[in-house]
Amino acid sequence: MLALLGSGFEYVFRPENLLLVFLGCFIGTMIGMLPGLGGSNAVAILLPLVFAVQLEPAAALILFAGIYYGSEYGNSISAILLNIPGTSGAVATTFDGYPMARNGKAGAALAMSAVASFTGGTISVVGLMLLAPQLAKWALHFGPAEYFVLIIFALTMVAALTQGDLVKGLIAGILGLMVSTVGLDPAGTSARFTFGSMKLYDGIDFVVVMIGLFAVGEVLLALERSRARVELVEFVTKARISFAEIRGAMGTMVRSSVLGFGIGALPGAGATIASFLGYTLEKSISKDRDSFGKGNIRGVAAPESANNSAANGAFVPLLTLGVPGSATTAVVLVALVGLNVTPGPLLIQNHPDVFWGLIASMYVGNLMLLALNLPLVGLFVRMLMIPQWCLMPAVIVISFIAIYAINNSAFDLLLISGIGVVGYLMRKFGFPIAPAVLGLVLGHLMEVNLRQALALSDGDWGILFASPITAVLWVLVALGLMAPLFPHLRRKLRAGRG
Amino acid sequence: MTDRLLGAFLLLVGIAYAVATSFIQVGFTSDTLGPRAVPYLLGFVLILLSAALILRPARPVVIEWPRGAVLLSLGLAVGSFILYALAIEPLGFVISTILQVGFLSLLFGARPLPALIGAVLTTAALYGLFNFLLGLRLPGGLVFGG
Repeated sequence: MLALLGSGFEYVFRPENLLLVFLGCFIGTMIGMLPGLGGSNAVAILLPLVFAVQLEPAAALILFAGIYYGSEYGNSISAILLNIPGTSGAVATTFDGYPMARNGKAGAALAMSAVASFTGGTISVVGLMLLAPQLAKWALHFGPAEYFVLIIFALTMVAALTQGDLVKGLIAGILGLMVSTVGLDPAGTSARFTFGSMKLYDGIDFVVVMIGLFAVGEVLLALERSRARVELVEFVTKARISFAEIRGAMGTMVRSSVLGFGIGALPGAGATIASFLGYTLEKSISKDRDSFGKGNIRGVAAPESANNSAANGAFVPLLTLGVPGSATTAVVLVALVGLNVTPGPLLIQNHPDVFWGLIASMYVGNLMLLALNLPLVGLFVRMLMIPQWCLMPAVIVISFIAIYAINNSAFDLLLISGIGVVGYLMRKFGFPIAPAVLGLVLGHLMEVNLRQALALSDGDWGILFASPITAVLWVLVALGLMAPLFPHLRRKLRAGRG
Repeated sequence: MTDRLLGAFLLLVGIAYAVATSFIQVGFTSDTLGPRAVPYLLGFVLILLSAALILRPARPVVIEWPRGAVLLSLGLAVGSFILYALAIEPLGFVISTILQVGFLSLLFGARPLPALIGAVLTTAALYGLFNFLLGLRLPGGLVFGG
């Protein structure tokens, strides 16, 4: 394992790859910090660019992972200074981070958040490194029936745990699956829903859908909300914290990191839920419970460790099973498949460079982020003041040009505009985007496995319930569907934007 | 009420999808399930779920729809996307992008002069990024094309 890790570091330490790690971390921090845009938006906007310049798969993964965990660093900056979480993963950070800033301790809160994020990031990389290869080996025993039920499980969990109500979440997932059926069927013999159009034979382009939903749709939402004014508590230029304070929060950080990693590895339950649970756990075992919500530094340490740890944990199901559990990892899946790497139980064996390069990049990236967020935090605080009118038009242009670069087709540009409007309407009507994206990305895999399973069993549907793994997964699916019966728990879990 | 209308609409989508499924041609060498089974299943589940949306007790959902100036700016933004898509080939990247960025900046509340300066700078920066750093072929258009 050390040799493999060593070769991963060798890969990451190439100058062009170090630059990608840095870019990922930097873009991630910035996008995570700016309210309204999160990791999934940034990754989607960069998706066509990655294809256009034909990055190596390992390099693309390094970049995207950097954006993902980087955004979990950045989102606390606006949570602490503006009381607006940069992404939903930092909602819980506002509880104590903002009061700390009001008490004149913004610098300490920012430093605590950086150190906690670093701890969470590092502990979870170790977890990913040790756990993923084992899980992948175990996943080799998965047959088509297990895979089919696993996908159903992932979709149900995402629908049940993201914002909005369960029925709408499930509908979003089904609509995503339906869109994925357009084109030649997996057996390659029948054209479905193409209405005689050759253009639709290859199916709907995922990249176009993702840019439409995550870039164009998001800009429309931002435009609608653009009247709101933001006010900075304090113009912080230095993040400072004493070792005594770090030592005091050590237990909190370690507990939250372990918790966050486990939750992040579950489909559907990402950084948001991890950060809430981390916060709740620390509050409930604390001796001075009353100081939480009034600027307790451990109230910053807990969610920040948990959300970073969860971001890395989210790579566990993607890299070991090939099944993403969140919108961001769904985009990463599309990137990898587009670059001819199919994530699944064989990924770590067949593409050790991709897996170990990622692991090494995460160690390096977390160090970089610590450096970016401690001494350079003033730079980011300044960027928080960038007006939206500077940023949002650039998002549109980057998206349009990147999509244009793939096919040189102006029609694709009309398509992303239309899908952007659909994405805007979906959010207005309370349909979460994540299940739709997951359905779209997993539809093909789901159908292939269902058809293989039934071909194996000669049409006996019992095969879907036969093995212990499928039985356990079906029970979990049932629990997910019963989530609305526990409104209190649910409200706690998914406060904030998914 | 919104949810019920939405449910009715989705019910129709589910039915239309199922009907369209019945027109799928099945090849000679099909497996046990064939190409229709999964679409039928999806259509069926969507019909069930939209029925649930219609039949369940109405919830007090308040959707704040944009009105007046906000609605107008959303419409103008979408309009500008379409114009940008149509203009990018004939006008080329530079001119169409300056116009698009400038217009969107105005919609996002910038004053005219900063919007113009921002548009020129953004376009220059992105031109450098795409053309020189990433080596993408940008549409040159009538002015810069050759």
